[in-house]
Amino acid sequence: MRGTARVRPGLPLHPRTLWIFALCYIVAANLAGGSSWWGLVGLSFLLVVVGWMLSISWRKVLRGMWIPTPFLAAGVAMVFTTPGDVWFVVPGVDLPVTVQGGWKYLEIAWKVYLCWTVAAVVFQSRRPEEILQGLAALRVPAALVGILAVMLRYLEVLVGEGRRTLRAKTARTGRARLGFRRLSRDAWLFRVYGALVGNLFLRALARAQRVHLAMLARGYDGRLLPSPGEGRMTEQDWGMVSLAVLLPLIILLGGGR
Amino acid sequence: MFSFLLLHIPDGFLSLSVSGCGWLVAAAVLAWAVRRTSTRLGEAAVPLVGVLGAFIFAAQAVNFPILGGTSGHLLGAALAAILLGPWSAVMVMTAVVIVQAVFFQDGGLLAMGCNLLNMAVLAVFSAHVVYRVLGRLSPRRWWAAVVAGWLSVVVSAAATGVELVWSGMFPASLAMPALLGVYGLVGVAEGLLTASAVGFLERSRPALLEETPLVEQDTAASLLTAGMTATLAVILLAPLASEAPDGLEHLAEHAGLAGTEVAPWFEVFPDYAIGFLGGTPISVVAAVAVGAVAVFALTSLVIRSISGDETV
Repeated sequence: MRGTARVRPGLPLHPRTLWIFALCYIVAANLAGGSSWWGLVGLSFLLVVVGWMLSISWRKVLRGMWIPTPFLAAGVAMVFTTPGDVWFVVPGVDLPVTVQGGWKYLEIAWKVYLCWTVAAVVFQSRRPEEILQGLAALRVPAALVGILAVMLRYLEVLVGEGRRTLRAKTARTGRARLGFRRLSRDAWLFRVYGALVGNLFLRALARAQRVHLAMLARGYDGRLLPSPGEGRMTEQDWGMVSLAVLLPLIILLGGGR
Repeated sequence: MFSFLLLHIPDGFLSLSVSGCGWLVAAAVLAWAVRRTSTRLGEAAVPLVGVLGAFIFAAQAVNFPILGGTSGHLLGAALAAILLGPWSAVMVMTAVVIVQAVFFQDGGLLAMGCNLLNMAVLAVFSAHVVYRVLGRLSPRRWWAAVVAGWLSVVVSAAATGVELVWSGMFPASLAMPALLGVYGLVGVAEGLLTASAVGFLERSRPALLEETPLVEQDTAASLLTAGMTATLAVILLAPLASEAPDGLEHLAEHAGLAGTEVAPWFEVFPDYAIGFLGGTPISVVAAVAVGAVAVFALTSLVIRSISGDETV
């Protein structure tokens, strides 16, 4: 159809299935590597297939792939600290890079991105409320799921509020940086930021109390989400759950650790 | 802009055994926190805690620029502990960590147990205990808030370091000084920001700091939890214990007495390890945990028998 994007409906899996799949996949990815590089290759292929089945937007997923990068950047140290045969010495600083360290880092980077991507693929394939219903279906305490639901509901409002306050602060005080050089100015800046956070707390508290009273008035009894029992597990769900449970076993049998 | 709080461990960095231990401990504390907040506040207070969870998340969005084009933001555990009390703070921080991991993919799912332990349990309780203890020493709260904020970040970073070392990612001699060095400085900013926020609330709404609807005054229970959390941290650190001989063994070696000792006729956990688990870190942790539980049970029994109090 001209003018409208073609949207292929994804596999209608129960959110509980998605949680189980993500967790089992991550366990399998952690077991893979070492002598079973084929396991990482297989899991990567499976991830692409699952992404296609769930009709997720790869562009949206890939946009967030910078998130684990700072941790991986800090992890580069392991190529120098892992004992083993020296591959080459970094000129200028005389730091030896070991072959074992290089392989270990490559393996960890691969695992980190696999685990990160499966979470992104699975959780971006459903609306947040559905993901929370999956959590409730896994018997996570209702109080915690309820808190998450309210938090998600008011997250944007309060983050927006925080950013607006920050913009107002910048308009008044400029973009002064904390350099730990001029103590009097830095102490003043900390007071400014502290007042922003304190102010945000007061606004959040006022809003929380209004929400609390309004919900009590509507007969709220501590349950926010409908019972997850409505969505029944289909054959597709059971197939996916079976595959998920088998994944770590396959990796273990194939020489994983 | 590069953010300075890299405490959300992604999946892939921690070993399965470390992740599993993290989940076990975090789930136990969380279950207790759910029970405490449900009985103290009632199920109906869920929206209150939820919106305050959104507040911590929003407060984390307030990035403050630091030297060299970098920025830092609040961790928020100390502020939550001061304003809401430890159990509600655990719930709020748990919600924040879950939302970050599930909806923003910041932090892993399998590693979430450790992330919860670091940011929602250890950070909260260390800040709470320090704030309470220092707050009693002086009526001026700001310096107690500075120390609480600093400690929450440092404890969280130290726990992150221990977990990474224990997973075999880095040697302790590299990870611990690096993490504690960097986060010792980041913690100063956290402490000053926390103190400034507490100072603002002290001036504008002092009643909030005296007794908010969410503040729990049960100090005995809090101290018990703090003690248990500290014990837990020590248990997790056990595999990193030095293998060098202790003072007495060293002296015995010098005096030529080594090897002349009479072996005990029965050993439960020789060399702090459980036989069938071998000399693995899990074995050491399990042996030390069993020992800690036994000491706790024995002490409780002794105190009960002395005091005749059934509520110990």
